[in-house]
Amino acid sequence: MNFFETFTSALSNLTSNKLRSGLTLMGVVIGVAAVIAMSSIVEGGKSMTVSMIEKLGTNLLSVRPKNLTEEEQRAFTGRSKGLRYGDYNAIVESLASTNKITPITSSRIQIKQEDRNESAMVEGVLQTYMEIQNYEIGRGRFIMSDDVTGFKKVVVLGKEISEKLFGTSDPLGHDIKLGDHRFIVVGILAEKGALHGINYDMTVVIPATTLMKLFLGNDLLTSIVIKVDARKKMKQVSDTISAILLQRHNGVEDFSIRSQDQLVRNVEMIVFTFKIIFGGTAALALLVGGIGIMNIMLVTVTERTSEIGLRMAVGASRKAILTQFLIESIALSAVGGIIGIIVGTLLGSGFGWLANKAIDGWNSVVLPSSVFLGFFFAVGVGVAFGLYPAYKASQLAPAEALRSD
Amino acid sequence: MGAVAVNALYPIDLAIKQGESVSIVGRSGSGKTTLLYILGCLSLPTSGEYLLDGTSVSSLSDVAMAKIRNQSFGFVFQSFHLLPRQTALQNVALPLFYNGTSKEERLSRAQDALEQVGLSNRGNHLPRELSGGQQQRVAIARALVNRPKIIIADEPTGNLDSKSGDEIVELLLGLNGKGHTVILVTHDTEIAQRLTRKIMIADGKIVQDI
Repeated sequence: MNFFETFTSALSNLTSNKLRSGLTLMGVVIGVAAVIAMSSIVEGGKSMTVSMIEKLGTNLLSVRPKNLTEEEQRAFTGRSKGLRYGDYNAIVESLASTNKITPITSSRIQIKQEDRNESAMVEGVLQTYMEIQNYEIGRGRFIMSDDVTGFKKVVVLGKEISEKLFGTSDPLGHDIKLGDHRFIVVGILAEKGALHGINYDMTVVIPATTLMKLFLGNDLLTSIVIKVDARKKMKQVSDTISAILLQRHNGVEDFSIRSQDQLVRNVEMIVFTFKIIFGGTAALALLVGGIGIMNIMLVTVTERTSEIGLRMAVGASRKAILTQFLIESIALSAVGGIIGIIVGTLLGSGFGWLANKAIDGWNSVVLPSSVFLGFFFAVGVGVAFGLYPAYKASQLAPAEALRSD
Repeated sequence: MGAVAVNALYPIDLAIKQGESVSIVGRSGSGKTTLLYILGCLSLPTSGEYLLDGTSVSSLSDVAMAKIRNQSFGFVFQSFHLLPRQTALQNVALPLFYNGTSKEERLSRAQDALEQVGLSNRGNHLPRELSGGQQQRVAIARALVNRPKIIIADEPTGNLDSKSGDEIVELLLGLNGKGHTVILVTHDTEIAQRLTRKIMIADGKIVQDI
């Protein structure tokens, strides 16, 4: 028995009945194409999201105040004052030697520039903000420590909001009004994009001290962001922060610590769910394809009973017959798999093109693993559904089979 | 197909020696083909014993039976049983595929066998491009290719005109002359006369053995 020769003769048997083979292949083609097209588009979405998350900065932890239920509020009255600037100082004291930390405070403020009016979430920040949040300065400069210590009225604008306020004219050095106060534009941030409904190009930042003094009247923080120096220390740092804050807040857990890893994991979870759904659909198509293969192989065995008898008469063992028909069904499904891979890749890039029109940066990504998986499953279907017909062929009695025509 | 045993043959005592040419004659349904298939190891008797070269066949495994069919027997059938999509040469080479002969040797031996049956220039033709007589000669070449001791022919002339039929019988007798044992089933008594021994079967019993 020679595998290669059996395989080529199986292929020639397939081509001798092209329409029938083609129709039989269809189920496998659809199944494999679905796997590849769907996973390529989901993967594309994932890689876009993950790269955006990474663009926000890596190894970030963010501490935010947690909304308490009324019941909790009543129980905790007077015990905790919420997330404050003092908490930032305490974290800096114990963690700043190896990690970078920055506090953020914010307030919605009406911005006026001549006759243009924008309502924006203005963030009060320190000079450390830019590096940790992974912004880059486009023009001018960022907030500096002198601005913070001197309660200066300076503002740095995101690219999009600066265009909204100033159009084509140069904002640098110009006055704008934040509420009732005049601020000088000292810098424009480089373009950064949007993620999960947050447009990072609409950012407006002023010194944290200025915001607290002029607009908030308190030192409550919106968040504290920590850039951990190594990914594997994320958990440890998070635990340390939690311990510090619990102590300072008299045991009240009115804050939450989220890591970017978690964000990535959430995305991966969603992607995984999608893959399960698509995988299930594709599995159904493959199942139908497999039934088609089994059906046609049973017909083939019946049609070729006398050939089987003859082969047995000239010395084919039952195993040789089994192998021959199994290889034929594998050839059938493998060809279906290959066509499916091609169709799926084309469909995937077609979808990718459409997705890219809808959301910039969303392309289709055909993973080698999904190609292998698709092909592997196609061949698996050939084996699984070819086994019974091949077994049936091998169990024919030579004398009966020879008399069949 | 149920599991009902049909008595196609009644107990028979029969010995065939090497080098004989034996005809088995009888009407259709007489059991002659059943006997032939047992002799050719294509089916096993439900009872009784068949010794081939002194070895009982009933106890052999499927693989061993396949090997015996491959090496000891060459079969010729009434309906030729050629694979329609393979050339004459490929058809002749088929038995060698199942004993691991290299492709080169398969084709050269198949060409030799085609020469023996006078079809050396028809090797690349498909069966449907050949006449009935030529197809049967291809089948004989296939029976020969593995140099078996015994050639078993089941109504080899049944689908042929009398001239082609004669040629086929001549060919088979010639093989017998070269030392192959020939066992031939026919209902044509004239053909049967030309072989050295005639066994007549009726209703599953040997009624004549001369």
